[in-house]
Amino acid sequence: MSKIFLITWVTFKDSIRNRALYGIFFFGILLFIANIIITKMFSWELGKVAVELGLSVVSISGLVIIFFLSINTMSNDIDKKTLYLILSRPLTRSQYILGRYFGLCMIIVLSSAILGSCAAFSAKLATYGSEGYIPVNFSWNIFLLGLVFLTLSLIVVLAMALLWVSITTHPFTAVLLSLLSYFIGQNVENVKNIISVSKMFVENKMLLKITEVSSWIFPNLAAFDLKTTAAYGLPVNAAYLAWIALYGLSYIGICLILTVLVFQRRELA
Amino acid sequence: MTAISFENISKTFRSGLKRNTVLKGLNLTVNDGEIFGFLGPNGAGKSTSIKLLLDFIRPDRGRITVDGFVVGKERFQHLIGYLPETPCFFENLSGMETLLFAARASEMRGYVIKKRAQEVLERLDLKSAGSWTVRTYSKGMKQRLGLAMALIHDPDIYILDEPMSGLDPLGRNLISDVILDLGQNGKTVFFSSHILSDAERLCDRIGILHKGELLFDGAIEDITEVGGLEKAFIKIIEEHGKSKNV
Repeated sequence: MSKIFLITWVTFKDSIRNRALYGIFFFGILLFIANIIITKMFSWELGKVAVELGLSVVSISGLVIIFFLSINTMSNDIDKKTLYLILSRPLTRSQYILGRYFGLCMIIVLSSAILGSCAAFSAKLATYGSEGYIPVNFSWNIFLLGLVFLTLSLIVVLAMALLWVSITTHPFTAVLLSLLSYFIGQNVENVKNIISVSKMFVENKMLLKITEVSSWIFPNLAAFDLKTTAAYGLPVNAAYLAWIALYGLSYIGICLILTVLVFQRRELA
Repeated sequence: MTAISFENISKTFRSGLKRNTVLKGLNLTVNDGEIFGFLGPNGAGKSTSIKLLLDFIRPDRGRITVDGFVVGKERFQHLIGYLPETPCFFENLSGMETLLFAARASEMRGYVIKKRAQEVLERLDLKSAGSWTVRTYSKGMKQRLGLAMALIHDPDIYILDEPMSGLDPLGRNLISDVILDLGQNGKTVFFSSHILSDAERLCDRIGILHKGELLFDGAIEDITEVGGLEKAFIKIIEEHGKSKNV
């Protein structure tokens, strides 16, 4: 465990000093300023727009960190052979994978915390003087819950991205596959629901099967999306959210196990 | 006592439908406490042999042992210090942070780590650069930091892949002195190089590899009776090339 923590801490320290990360934060802050301006253009549902836009910025920034910073970090380890100096020590490949993953998770969590605070601040500023347009049931606790589940969905995507990096030989391929997986994950449940009720597709068993299999393989990222719940202060079902969290953690566990299995067999020529 | 042994090692790489056999039945032994130079022209299979030794890749056939531990089946990394051909680091950490990480990863504990790191940085003329980020280091400084990472936990066996590669004469002299000191302290050093003058100065024994085959394995004196190592090396390689063409 201590070796996993050692890799985690080194990954976090190295990543937090990466200038690209500051660029992403700066981009996020610019979008928050834009959030204030855009929200003011709406004469209704200011609260909903401000909260949804704010959380969307957190999501976009997290995805940029995953697709460009994290995948690049892992791919560089293999391409530039930074890995050699790590694996020539008494450290197993599984410890390396887990340590790198947890270190990158810490960056995602930190990014969500900082940008989530900015999102809350920009939402507060955007609706200042327009309190009448904020939904009656709006609650900062549910906003926080939305942020937590958004962060959980990002670390699910990170686990998937890590699996693609371990399987592919080029970082561009890993980015493409991760983007594709993210896109499918966001839409697969909706597509499955539409196909299952539509008269057009009810005869098409192959399409139904493909959609069914996809919904099992790819994570249902839409389930983690609580933006609307947070924006309107809708009631939350604690048991349902607990299941979603368990689902997310289980999916992360499966991705990490597969990543470790693949990586243990990979030749580092 | 044997520090490192390669027993009938073969390795082929596949690229699409093409197969490239890089090592053909390599048999090699390095004894405890000796400085062994693993020589050969570019593309001979030296770096592949080292990657097999470190379990980064797996042989198609054969067995490798390090101090009696079978590579790929038993853990042996606590016994070795490794310097890759082109060391790459966490660029945003400082030299000292990198060494402290290496020390802790090698299971060193306690207050001795920092003291040892400072000693090693001083030995490799990096003391003033210990607080700089690795990103700002020159090629020579990175090479020396890589060697520092190999030295920090004071292992008994050193595996150095082209340790003098890309260094200026001062850097080469420094690393040569470190290797000689290691030899005098009874450590085993296995290093690959295509610079014969380094091998002539440092090694107790050498192995000459060409196109995956070990052409010579023994003391330098055994092949340098007349004309020096370079002439003997070229003669061996040319004779091997002719025998393959017959």
